[in-house]
Amino acid sequence: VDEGVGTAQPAKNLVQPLELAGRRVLIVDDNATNRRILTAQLSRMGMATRETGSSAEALDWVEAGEPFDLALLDHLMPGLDGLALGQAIRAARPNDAPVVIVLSSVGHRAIRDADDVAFLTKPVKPSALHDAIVTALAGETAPSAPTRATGREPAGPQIAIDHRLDILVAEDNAVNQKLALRLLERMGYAADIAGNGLEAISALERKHYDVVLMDVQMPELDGLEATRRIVARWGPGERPTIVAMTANAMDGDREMCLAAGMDDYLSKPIRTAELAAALSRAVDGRRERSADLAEKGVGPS
Amino acid sequence: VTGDAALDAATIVQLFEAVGSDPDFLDELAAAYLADAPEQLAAARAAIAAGSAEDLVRPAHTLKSSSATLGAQGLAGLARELELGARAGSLDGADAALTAAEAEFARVEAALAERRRSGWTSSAS
Repeated sequence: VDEGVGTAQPAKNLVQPLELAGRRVLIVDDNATNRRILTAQLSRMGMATRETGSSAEALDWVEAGEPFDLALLDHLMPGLDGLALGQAIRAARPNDAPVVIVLSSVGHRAIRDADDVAFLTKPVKPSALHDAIVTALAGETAPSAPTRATGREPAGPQIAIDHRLDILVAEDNAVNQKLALRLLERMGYAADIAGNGLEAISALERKHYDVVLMDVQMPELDGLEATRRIVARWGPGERPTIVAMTANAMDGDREMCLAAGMDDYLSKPIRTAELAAALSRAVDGRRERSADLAEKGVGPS
Repeated sequence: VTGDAALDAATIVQLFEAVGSDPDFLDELAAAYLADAPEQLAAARAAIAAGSAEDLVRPAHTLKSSSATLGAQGLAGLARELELGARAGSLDGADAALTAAEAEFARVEAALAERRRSGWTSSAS
């Protein structure tokens, strides 16, 4: 839908706008029509593009030292496919490889875990493309941010999923409060604290939050009831993503949290990798939700 | 035997790395714990003396949760036992479990002090 606006219309995403103008993008797709569409979309975002239908030529450019911030690679191509090309690009430029996004129409899930690259399914809507680029480039500002949870505790700030999120920690336990703040701080987040459910709700009245890390057991008003009130009061496009934190590893605990309206669940003691994964899921969930609402014409107020 | 240690060594190592290998921060975290845990034990004692399972739930839960955070698994286990009983409305065995928790807390306190002296990096506990 052409909204009749000359400049690129940023999608109604919750990820903070990031400067896209002037970024250099490598587009590789053997289909000329796709290349033309991508080029047009990226130009509207103010990005500088260079395109080719040949993986080999793309690799030549990269090896010759041409600077790219981002590489948009079609997956199904003759010769090197998108994934392999992405890997080759990274290998060619270990220190300053562009961020890689692979576009694929099939086998999306099957190749998802193949490498630490972003995937987009074709056909790509401009808003989805915009969001994916913003997310990928934002992730890149934190050094090679692997957002996937690994078995090991990632080394501190490396895991920063540098999506700007306003986070509220609702937790009454002083020890766990301190630890949660510290882990978030190491990911680059300065979170606010609420000592119980009532305080959490007043905090939400004063300020917009993207994510609430909600302890389940709290005095005054527990996390379950606080969540029910939040859900009753704020619509899906307005309220924060609520992630339960609970020390009860009991059956049915998770279901209880979800039934109350929470979006996700962390068991305590919280670990960096699990926390990072939950925040990453929150970012994805919020992006999907805002896209859904935008589609229905119910933009967040 | 690790089961005898008041603090789980692996948890401490993991915690130390997770907070950025910052001994000062762990000092702070331990201090918050050492200030709070006796209050929870006292509140639990008062709840049992008053015969109130309901009032026992929160202090037992809090003690369980922060003890687990610092790797005090034995104490966390005792607190969990207290919490589960209290949630079921029962104080059966609560007195004995709390007495054991109080004794275990003394061991945890000593172990934390030892960790603190060693800068949180020694492998002994």
